[in-house]
Amino acid sequence: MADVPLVVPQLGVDIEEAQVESWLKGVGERVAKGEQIAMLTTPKVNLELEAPADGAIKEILVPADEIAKVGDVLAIIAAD
Amino acid sequence: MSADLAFLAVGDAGPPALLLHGFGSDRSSWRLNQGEIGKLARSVAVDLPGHGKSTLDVGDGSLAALGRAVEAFAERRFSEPAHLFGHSLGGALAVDLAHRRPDLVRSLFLVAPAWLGKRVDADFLARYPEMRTIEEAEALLRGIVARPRLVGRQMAAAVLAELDRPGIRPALRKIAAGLLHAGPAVADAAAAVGRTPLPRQVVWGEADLTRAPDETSLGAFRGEVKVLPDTGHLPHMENPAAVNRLMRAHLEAVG
Repeated sequence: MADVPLVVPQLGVDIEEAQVESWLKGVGERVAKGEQIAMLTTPKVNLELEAPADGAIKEILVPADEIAKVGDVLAIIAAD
Repeated sequence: MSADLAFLAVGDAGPPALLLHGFGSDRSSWRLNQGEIGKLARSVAVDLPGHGKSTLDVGDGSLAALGRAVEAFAERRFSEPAHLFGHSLGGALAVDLAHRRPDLVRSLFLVAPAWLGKRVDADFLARYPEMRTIEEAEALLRGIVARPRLVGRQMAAAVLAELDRPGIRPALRKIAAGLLHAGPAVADAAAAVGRTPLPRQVVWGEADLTRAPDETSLGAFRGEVKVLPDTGHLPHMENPAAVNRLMRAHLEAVG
């Protein structure tokens, strides 16, 4: 078991931050690698974030409606 | 009409690439893709006339008028033929340029290109310039993507703010009318390009039903067509990882 961070990826040219629009999974829920687990929104594009590993969501660090910067850790996945 | 289109350049090596957005959008529609394209090409994403920071003088709004602006820009900006990436309206413009000015074009990468589908969405084109509320904008934009959650209130609010800039709505009305009548010209251009060896790739979203690919036009165009599952009319935004892979492969194959 290892903790794997879910990080705000590069959002493209000249986007440095985004708002967490919603979490599609909650703390404790199981996720599969590649499964969409969060929605980020910017004025120009919405983006689905995929789970980086199989496991369970251990902690959500940035709740819905808050702003995160590229590279910020949004959540921790306790990987299988 | 001025050829001084506003643009964003990314990438400082490789052949030139010109990115042409769809109706009502702007150069930022490529922001999930341009970083990837910029690794292999000197990419330039423009705001088409009537959009973004470019001139709002769209002439008669016809595809030919927009095409002349794109041609003038490419001629001035690039010293060698460019890869053209075009989405929807931008796809039709790319086909038009490849037909009229093959000397300016290295390859075509078309994303849900207008009029290579069975029809364009006349209802969308009519309603888009008239949207007045966030709810209206959300509903209309959600109608063209496979997963409605990809359109949020922020995006809808930004679209409305853009529409409310003086001059935008009249320009878009003209372009919408021009695009509605461009079908035969685009089909002819696509068939003519189809008789050439120009490298080309077409990407379509499987859920883009209202603009489903037209086998006759695409057959004449003879482009390779990749259909992406769970994707609507905005494949490059809805499914950026898959589209970026295809874009990279296209650039690497063509060179």
